[in-house]
Amino acid sequence: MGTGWDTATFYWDNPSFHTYVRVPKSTDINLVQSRLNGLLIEQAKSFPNIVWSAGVLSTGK
Amino acid sequence: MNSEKLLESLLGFFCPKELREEIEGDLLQRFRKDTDRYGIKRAKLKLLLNTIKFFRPGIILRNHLSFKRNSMISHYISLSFRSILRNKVFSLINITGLAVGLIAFFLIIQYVTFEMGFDRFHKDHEQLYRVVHQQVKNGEVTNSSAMSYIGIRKLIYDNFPGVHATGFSRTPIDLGITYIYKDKTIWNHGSLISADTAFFNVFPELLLKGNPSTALKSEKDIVSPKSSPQILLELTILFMNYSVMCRISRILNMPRSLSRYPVFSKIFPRRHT
Repeated sequence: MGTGWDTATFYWDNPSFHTYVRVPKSTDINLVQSRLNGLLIEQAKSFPNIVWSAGVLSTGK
Repeated sequence: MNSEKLLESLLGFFCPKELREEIEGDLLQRFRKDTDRYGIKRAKLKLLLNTIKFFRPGIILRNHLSFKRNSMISHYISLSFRSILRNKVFSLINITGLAVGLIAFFLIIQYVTFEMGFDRFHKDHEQLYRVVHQQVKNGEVTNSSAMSYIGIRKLIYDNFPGVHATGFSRTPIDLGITYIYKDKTIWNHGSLISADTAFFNVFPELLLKGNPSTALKSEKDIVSPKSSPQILLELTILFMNYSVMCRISRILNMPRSLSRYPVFSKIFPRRHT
């Protein structure tokens, strides 16, 4: 993982980044999506700036 | 091939036998006059053009060789031509409508094909996902965006071992970026994007040369095992073709606020936002 933005304070300030992920083969993407959404809801408790409550993984298909 | 044989073989393709001799005589007479006036080379060209001028329905439809007179197809064709000639305006509207419809059809096919496959050039594209955001109120999606929080990347790395994540953003305005290598201007390009150092872990195939794990660790790196303007130029050209990102050696006119991030140039030949 890179270090360029790890110290940035605007982690949860503004949804203005394109985020792409590469998962290993045979990964259950629904499981990843569900868990990520759970984590985002937890994160929103600490960072009220998160106004959007659900992050979903899209294949762009 | 001399002119007479050329003329004979050309007319033989489409001209009915009963007309051929007369047309051929006229064309040859014209050819001889043109030879005296313009010379043989230009006369031959004019002969060819004059012959092609006879390739028209008035001549072709008198031909009995292409279709049998009583065949169904020839009947339909002659009926169609008669109908077109009888109702010129109506036929023009119909044919124009058909042409417009066909053009629209092919444009839609082109658009749908692109939308369905613009990201298929990535290696193992079925493993690649974009994190998007949806605003949910009372269980219903009220808003959605392709953008997400940069913190999601760290969240993924901390909680999903084996999953690579990268984030990047694109400047919406033209910043007037100039790429210079060894005091030589390589390329001028307006906008730029900022990306993290994990970019090539997610898109390893976009790194044409170099090691994905070590690329982009330094702000003054070029993503190439060799440091030469030629390599950089090649990379730039390839990137322009394949919509990938390029590390550059030096950046001018870059805002101070962006300068602490790794910077890439990006070309979107087929933009998708």
